[in-house]
Amino acid sequence: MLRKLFLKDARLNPHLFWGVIPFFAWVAYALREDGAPVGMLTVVSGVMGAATAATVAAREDRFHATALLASLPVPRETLVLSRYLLAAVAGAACFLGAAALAALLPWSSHALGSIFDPRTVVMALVIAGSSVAVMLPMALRFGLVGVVAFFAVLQVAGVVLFFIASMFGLRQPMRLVFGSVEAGLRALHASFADAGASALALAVLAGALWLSYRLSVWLTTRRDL
Amino acid sequence: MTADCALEVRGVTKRYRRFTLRNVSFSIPRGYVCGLIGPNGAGKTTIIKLIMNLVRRDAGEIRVFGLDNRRDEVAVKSRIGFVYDSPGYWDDRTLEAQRRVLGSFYPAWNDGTFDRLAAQFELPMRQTYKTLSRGTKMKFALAMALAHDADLLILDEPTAGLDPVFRREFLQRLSALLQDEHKSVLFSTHITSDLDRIADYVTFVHRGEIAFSLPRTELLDTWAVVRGDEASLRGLDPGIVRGRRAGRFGTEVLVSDARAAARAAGPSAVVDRPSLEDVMVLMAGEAGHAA
Repeated sequence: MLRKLFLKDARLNPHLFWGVIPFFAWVAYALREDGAPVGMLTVVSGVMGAATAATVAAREDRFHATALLASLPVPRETLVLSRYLLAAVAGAACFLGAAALAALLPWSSHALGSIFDPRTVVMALVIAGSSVAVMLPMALRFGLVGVVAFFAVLQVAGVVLFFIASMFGLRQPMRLVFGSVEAGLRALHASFADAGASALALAVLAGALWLSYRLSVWLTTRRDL
Repeated sequence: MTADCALEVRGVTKRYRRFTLRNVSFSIPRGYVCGLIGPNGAGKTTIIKLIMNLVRRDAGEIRVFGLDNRRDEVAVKSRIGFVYDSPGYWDDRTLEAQRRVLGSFYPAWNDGTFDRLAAQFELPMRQTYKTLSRGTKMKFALAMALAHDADLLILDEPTAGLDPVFRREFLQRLSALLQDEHKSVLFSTHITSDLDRIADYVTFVHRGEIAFSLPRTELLDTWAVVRGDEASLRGLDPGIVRGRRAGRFGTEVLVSDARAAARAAGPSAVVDRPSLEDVMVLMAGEAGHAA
């Protein structure tokens, strides 16, 4: 059944997968530069691939195909599981695609060891996985509105942070906010040098994904279509 | 609950913020067509969505061929052919692509049956869904519903938006399908003339409740529309009056006992066999007055 659902996603939403081609063209171009941040490029590629699952759900919701899908002889729980597996497969494929470009393009000077640095792989898993854990329940329950709301919440959170920083009289609050996020990501990346920290992060991620999946099943089975 | 029933709905309730479907009960024996009629907003689509488990019921029980529609969801849906009032296919994909993908989910899917129907309906299989007229979209949905040898067809307003020629063809096709006595149909519509041709049972839903569920012949043979002035209708037993409408040229009363009405009505009153449209219009009017 999951195989059929994968085929359904691939055949009925193919341009969502073609949509990564311009992105990979940009990755290829970015790799021309000396010292291109290959870790960042592969992580962002992984996140973008994983987000495809939410985009597919949102697109089907826009066409009102969600009700049609729910009328097929497939349990709704299986439909939800297929979304999470699609996120995993598409995320991994995009990560590996970016890694392959970094390894194979003649103008890229990155060694295979630096591309598949375990810290970067764990970082990709954590960021892509946590994005999916938050985004998919919203996309499955609210469709396109859910995906838009996810980004709107991020925007609003940014504005709130900006105002809070301003209230405390901090100069250049935007730099502070983005600087803090960057510093946090760097610290997280550095902490993954420790195998214990990586294992802990992956365990927390697995728990978050499991909770997200159960929440999605709960929301989806209660959703009136 | 009997094994000879294709569909049994018992005491089903669904509450929305501004609408409640209350204690809905009716059944369809195997091999019969049941017309689900009622004005717009009466609750027909909600009943169908409850049967398909697209919305969750708050109370009651729904069985399809003796199987619970939630517990045995996959088995139940494998045996149902479903046509939605506004079919939600993928707008930018061709009919061919959608047929290949969606057909694979049904164990009894038959490509030969689909191809034959597609040829009969003149479906443009290489066109994208969004380029089709409403009628052609409905034809595609119907072909999809019929191609997996469903035992129960659930059709939600399938003829709305279709031209009269195709509507007639569609109804003839349904009749032909039912020559196989195991096929059953739940046909929701507000175009009551569709049911004049094919329905064995009629279930009338109004304001979230089932007003009646009866064999069509029993309904049309025993019920009547009595037309006359107020004086000639005064003798009618209020217990048999099911609907009433006053107009400029007199009053129409729907009664559930034609013989009793003929005896009680005054000499100037006319007692006629009702059409399904009379039944729907007068009952909806009565409920409107009651409210």
